[in-house]
Amino acid sequence: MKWPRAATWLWLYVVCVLGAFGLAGGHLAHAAPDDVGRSVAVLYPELAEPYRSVLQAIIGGIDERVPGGAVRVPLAPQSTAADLVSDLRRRDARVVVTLGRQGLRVARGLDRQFGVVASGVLAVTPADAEGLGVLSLAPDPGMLFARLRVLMPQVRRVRVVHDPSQNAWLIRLAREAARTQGLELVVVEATDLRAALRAYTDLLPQMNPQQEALWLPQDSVTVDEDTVMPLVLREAWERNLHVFSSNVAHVRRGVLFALYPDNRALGRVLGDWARGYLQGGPLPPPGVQPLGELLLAVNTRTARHLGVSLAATQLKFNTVFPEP
Amino acid sequence: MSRSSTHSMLPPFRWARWLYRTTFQRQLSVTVAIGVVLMAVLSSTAASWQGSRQIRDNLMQQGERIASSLAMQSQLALLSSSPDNVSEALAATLTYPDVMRAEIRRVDGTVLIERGAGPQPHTGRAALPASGEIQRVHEAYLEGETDELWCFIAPVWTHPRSSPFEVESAPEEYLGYVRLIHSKGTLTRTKANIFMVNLSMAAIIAILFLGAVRYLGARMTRPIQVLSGAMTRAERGDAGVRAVVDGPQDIVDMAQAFNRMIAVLQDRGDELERHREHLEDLVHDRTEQLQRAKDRAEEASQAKSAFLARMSHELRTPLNAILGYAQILKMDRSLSARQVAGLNTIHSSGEHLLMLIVDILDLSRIEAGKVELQPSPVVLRNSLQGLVDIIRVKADEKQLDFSWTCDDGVPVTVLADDKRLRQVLLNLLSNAVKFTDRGAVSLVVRLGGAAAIDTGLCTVRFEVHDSGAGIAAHDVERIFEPFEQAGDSHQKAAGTGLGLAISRQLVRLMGGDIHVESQPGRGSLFWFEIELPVMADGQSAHTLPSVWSQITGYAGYRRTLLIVDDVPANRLMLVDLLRPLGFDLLEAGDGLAALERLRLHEVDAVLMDLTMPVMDGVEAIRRIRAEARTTLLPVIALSANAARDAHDEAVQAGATEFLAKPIDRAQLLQVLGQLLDIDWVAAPPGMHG
Repeated sequence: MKWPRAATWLWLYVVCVLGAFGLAGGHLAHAAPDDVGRSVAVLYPELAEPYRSVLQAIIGGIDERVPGGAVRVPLAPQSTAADLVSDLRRRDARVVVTLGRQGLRVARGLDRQFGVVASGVLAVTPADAEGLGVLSLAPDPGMLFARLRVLMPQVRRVRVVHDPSQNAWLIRLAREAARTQGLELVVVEATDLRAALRAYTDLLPQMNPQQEALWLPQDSVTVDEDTVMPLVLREAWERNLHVFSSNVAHVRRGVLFALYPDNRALGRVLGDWARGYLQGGPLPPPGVQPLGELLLAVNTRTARHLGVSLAATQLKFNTVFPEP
Repeated sequence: MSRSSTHSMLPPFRWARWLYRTTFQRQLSVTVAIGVVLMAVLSSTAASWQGSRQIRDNLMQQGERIASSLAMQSQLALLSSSPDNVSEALAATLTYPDVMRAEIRRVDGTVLIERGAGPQPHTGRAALPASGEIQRVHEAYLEGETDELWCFIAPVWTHPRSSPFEVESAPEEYLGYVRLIHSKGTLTRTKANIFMVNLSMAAIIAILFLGAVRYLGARMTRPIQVLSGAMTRAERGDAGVRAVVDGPQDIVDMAQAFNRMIAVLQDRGDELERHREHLEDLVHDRTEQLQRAKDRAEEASQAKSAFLARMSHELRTPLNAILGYAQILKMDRSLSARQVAGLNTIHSSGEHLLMLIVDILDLSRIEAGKVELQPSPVVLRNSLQGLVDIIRVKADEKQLDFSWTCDDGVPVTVLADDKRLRQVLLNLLSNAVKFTDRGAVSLVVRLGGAAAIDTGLCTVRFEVHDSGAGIAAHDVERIFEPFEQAGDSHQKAAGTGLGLAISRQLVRLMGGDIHVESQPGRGSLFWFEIELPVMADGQSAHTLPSVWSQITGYAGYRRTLLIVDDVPANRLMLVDLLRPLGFDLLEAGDGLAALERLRLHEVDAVLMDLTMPVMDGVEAIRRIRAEARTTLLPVIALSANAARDAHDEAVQAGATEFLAKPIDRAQLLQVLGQLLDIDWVAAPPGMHG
């Protein structure tokens, strides 16, 4: 069958119209699917292990969500935003994902022509975000309390000592989450180690082992590894206190359980955000968000000591201590 | 090099002299010992110093670590102001060795807790470190030290964990400090131990090393000593010595070289020995041959001497009688002129014969070297005068002019053998007269050569001139040969022909020689020069009276003489000679009989013949001298053997004088006069008529 000349011209017209729509049809219309990766740049500090693995896992997650993979831009210690802008433009980057403390510092100075998402940071305050959407590595308190409820259903009260300059935003979220979980959150603020120690010294004897649990947030002031942790762990062991943490290392030292970041999942979230932005979607809202992509670690020895039946919880424990 | 020369070359420094005087092994041992001891001490000191530095650093690091550790554990206590939180750690800290005291202080320096019994460590600096100073450091440091202890300070800080994911790192907080007093006891002990261990090890190594050195030194020096001993033995003449080849290679080479050298020397020595033995044998053979020849010559000489002596004796004995009786007969005044002439002929012939015998004997003795001059002071002019008188008679007989002169410079008295000098001159003058038929004969005596009287010597020249036939030049030497005369046989004059030969020998014996200046037909000159010691005036010799023949007796009491001779004719001749002079005479036929006579009679002198049976004269003289009574008795030995041996033998036996036979009357009387102090009485001249 021979195509009529009019039909040929119609086919060309349709292609051209569709092409014109494609060019004018938003951000994604500029890039073919294979070119998305070249528009997403990941700025990350060059760190040694074990931090390198964390960053690699996050970047790997981003790559899973960004076709062609994101452009990796390692940050030198002296790298500044001004230095990077031209490089990012030359690379035709449109979305920038920054990781780590240095990444956040650079992100704050980047031109707003880029879509910027920051992550891989701890102890970040809303003030630090400066209008950026920051996905913190701090586990979501709601998920923490949910796991607490599963592992220790008898607990009614959760005590926490924190430095408000680091974790005020998180405690706010925690209060809501506690309420949601039917728990009472008793918060003690301490602005230095001496005050924190005094606080722990005061509260630990008061705790009811049956109904109360102590939450150790990621707080460099109040959760001192050299002084507070030995005190807390010793007291908890001796008095069968339930202690959970936002730091997986604490489980190794004797805390019952902890939630810790699922870095690859975090990367995937970041990749989704980036691709969504390129496709015309929004970026994370300005401010700090707790991390919902978490894994569960448990200390079986502590569990046995406390009489907690892990098997009965039917939870999936991603990391178990002591390691077999 | 001799030991003394070696010592003379010793250097002036004591140590250098020590090097010369000690053995190689001792020098090696001492040098190595000094080196090893120095090495031991220095290495021990160095090792101890180095070790102690490391230990000091380690101990200081340990102290700082202990302080830091305690500081780490003190955080809770300081934060909570609760000493209980650190008391266990503090107790654990004090269990460390050398930790004497530990303090934990707050920021303001007040003590939170302190433990330990050490001294309050206010070392050097302020009692309490300034907090500002401490707050600048995080590590432990040394606050100060004394000889006994260190004081460490370790600040206590909080250590909030910080990760690259945290936006803001939590600040560190200064909580206080730990002061740790750490003793240096371990350091001190360890230093001493290291030093002692090193020193001990070095000493052990040194001893082993020294032992090895001594062993090697001995191994090296023993072959040298062996070699030296071998050389010493070789130096002493042990030709068969060999060095034992042992020890290091160079010593072995030396020993082998020495052995080869000794072997070569031994071969040469053996060869020389063989040559020497051969030479000795040769010399021995030659010596034996010479000895045999000498013995034969001596035997021949002795035989000749004996023959001559015997002949002399045999001839003299009859001549003694002939001449004696001729002299006796001539004293007989009753004889006729013809008888007297006959007696004179007998006497002169006998004398000629005697002269011949004497000349032969004389020549023989001179040629045999048995004649010795017997110098005595001589008044030269007197002696010559007697000679001149004799010759003048002979010259007058031939009607020749005879003159003699003696220069004034000639010393009056000289030391000379007068008899021999007169013999020579008499011979020369006699010859001059004998061979001069007309003309003149003269004797000239003067100083010859370089006169040197001041030195006590003078050279006297004797010249005998004649105007005789002269001597042809080719005859000049021949005339000195025995039994030779110059000229034709018909011209030969009477004589023995021995005179010139004897004269030349005698002059040579006196230190001169006879020279002849002559031309045939123009006369001759015989002259000689002899060197004579000059004597002071007054030392004149006895001069024989010229009138012995006129003696008829002696003054004073009568003397008794003993005549001992085995030949009765000889005894009788002497009796006849002496009795007319007034002597009482006893006779004996041998020595034993003579001794018997002497035992029975008092005698004034003995005339003792030497050659006798039963007991010879020598033995008899010896026994006479042995007797106290006759010890001083004058004994005149008589012998027909005029040889010197007979004279010497008699004198040694004790003879006072010696007279040769035939007895000369004048000589006998002179000797008797001297021995018996006799004043002779002579007949007036012309008594013979």
